[in-house]
Amino acid sequence: MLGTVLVESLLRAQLRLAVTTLVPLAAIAIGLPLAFHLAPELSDLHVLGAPVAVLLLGVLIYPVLLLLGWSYVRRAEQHERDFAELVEIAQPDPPPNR
Amino acid sequence: MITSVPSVVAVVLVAIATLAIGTWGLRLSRTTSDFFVASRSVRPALNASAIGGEYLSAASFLGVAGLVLVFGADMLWYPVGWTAGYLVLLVLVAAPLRRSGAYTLPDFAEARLASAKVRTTCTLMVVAIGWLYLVPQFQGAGITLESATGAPPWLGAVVVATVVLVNVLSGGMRSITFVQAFQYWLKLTALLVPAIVLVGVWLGDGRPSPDGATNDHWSLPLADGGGQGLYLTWSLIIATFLGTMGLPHVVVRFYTNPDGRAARRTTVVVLALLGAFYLLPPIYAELGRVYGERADANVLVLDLPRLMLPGTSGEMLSALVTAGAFAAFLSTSSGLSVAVAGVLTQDVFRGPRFTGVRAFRAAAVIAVVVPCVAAVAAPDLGIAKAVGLAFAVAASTFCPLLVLGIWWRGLTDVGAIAGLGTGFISSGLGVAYSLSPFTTSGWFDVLLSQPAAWSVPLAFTTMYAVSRATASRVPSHVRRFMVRLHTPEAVALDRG
Repeated sequence: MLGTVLVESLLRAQLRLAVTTLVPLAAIAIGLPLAFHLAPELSDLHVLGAPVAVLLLGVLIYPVLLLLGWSYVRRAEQHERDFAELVEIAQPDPPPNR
Repeated sequence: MITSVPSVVAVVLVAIATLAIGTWGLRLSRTTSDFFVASRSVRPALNASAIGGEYLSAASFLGVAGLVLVFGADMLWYPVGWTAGYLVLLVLVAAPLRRSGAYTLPDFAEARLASAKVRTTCTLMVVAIGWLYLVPQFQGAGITLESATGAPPWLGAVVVATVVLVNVLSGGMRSITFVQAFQYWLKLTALLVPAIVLVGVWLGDGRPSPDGATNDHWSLPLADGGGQGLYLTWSLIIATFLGTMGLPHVVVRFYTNPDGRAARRTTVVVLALLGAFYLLPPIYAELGRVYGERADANVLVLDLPRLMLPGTSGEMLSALVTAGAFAAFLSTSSGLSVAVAGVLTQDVFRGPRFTGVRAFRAAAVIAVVVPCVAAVAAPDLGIAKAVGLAFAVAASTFCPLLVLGIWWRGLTDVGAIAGLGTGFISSGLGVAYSLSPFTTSGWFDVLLSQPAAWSVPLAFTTMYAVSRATASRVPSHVRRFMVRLHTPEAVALDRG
């Protein structure tokens, strides 16, 4: 049935989007500790008077998380709008929403 | 012991304000649905403030600053993980969870897997995680009241438990929504205003730097011990990133959104609110390195204003921070109590003697009294440590259930129970080890004290493998259920 195919493709699109959003997060979570483990001298680095680790983990990471979340929501809603349009075309007279 | 009159006044004011807003909410809450999920009519901005208010617990308000002061930059992973957990939740869980139409985690599990046994398993775990998280909140309240007034530590626990119980009994979730939203802004103000003043004092003192007496690794975002330190840091990251979605009080909050789209938008606002809040504790830790050598790290945030500004102004600022800390205990324990009472109502207090609101009230008493007694009796683990273990258990149980349940059709009831059980036992070993007087060293100690890095993959693998082995038990309605989870409400599709 056409509806099933459309739902399948929506599910796949949303899952792909979820993975692309989580990859940068995983890179930060794995990479940052690893970088400091391999090169402990990084912790002596100061930017604007603050240790670089404090700057990264205390300040800069929060806008990054917000940005990832915001762009995820924008694209997830876009997928849903596309899906709704396709359903309109496929089902001109939809059954009542039970 | 210092007895501070402004701090006592502040604690009393927070308790009265909490009860007053709760009572105001009472007039709006009439039915059982109001009690549980505020009749699902809470808008994103209000709901996000409520989530922030509920989520920012004693560990965030008091724990982070003290941990960063003592152990250094690796402790910054706690607040980062508590925020990133919402991003993971947003991406994998938020909208489908709301669209599942269930009230609680056991509701979701039963609807998805059509199994009463899975439901019962989930109920036990919600209660266990909820109580594990409530105990340190009550203990934190004891420490705070002790620091402010010299009262014995059990008194703070009893005060917070009583206010929470009265509040939950009178209004349930609806009034809690207003209380929680109020408490986010109270907590933010209570850390922000003193932080601005204290940074001003530091600038006026000619920007002194820390003595250098603190350890050399302070600015290294890794736990000590080479490979073991790397393991501990990664394991903490896994527990906090994946545990958020499995906390009972977080999940219940998502059902109060009107629809899946609102659930997502709410989560983005939550990311902004948490990020704004978590900028503040490291400031206290940095100032603590300069001025706080005489402070007790557990209550650094409460003592710092007094230490930096002797006299009335310091006392007033300390009172403000104490008020914020009390708001933290009240809001988190209210949310947890409502969540635990909710599942107890549905799964334990059933039958003709218990109906609707009456059953909820009986459940609320149990939900609050048990952890309060435990908090007074149990050894003090340290707030952030105990909360960290609750995250590890949630990440090892409900995270696999939610992620596989929402994105994979092949999940079966047997697979779910096997995975939940494996995750619960393996992460529970860590809890038992931390509570017991038994200690060891080396990798054994490291693996047990921070179990998430092995218990989460183990739970996922077990759930997947056992589901594959019992593939004939995949419920017949799974296709329709998946459609319902992922289809936007705007589409008039047959939702079965």
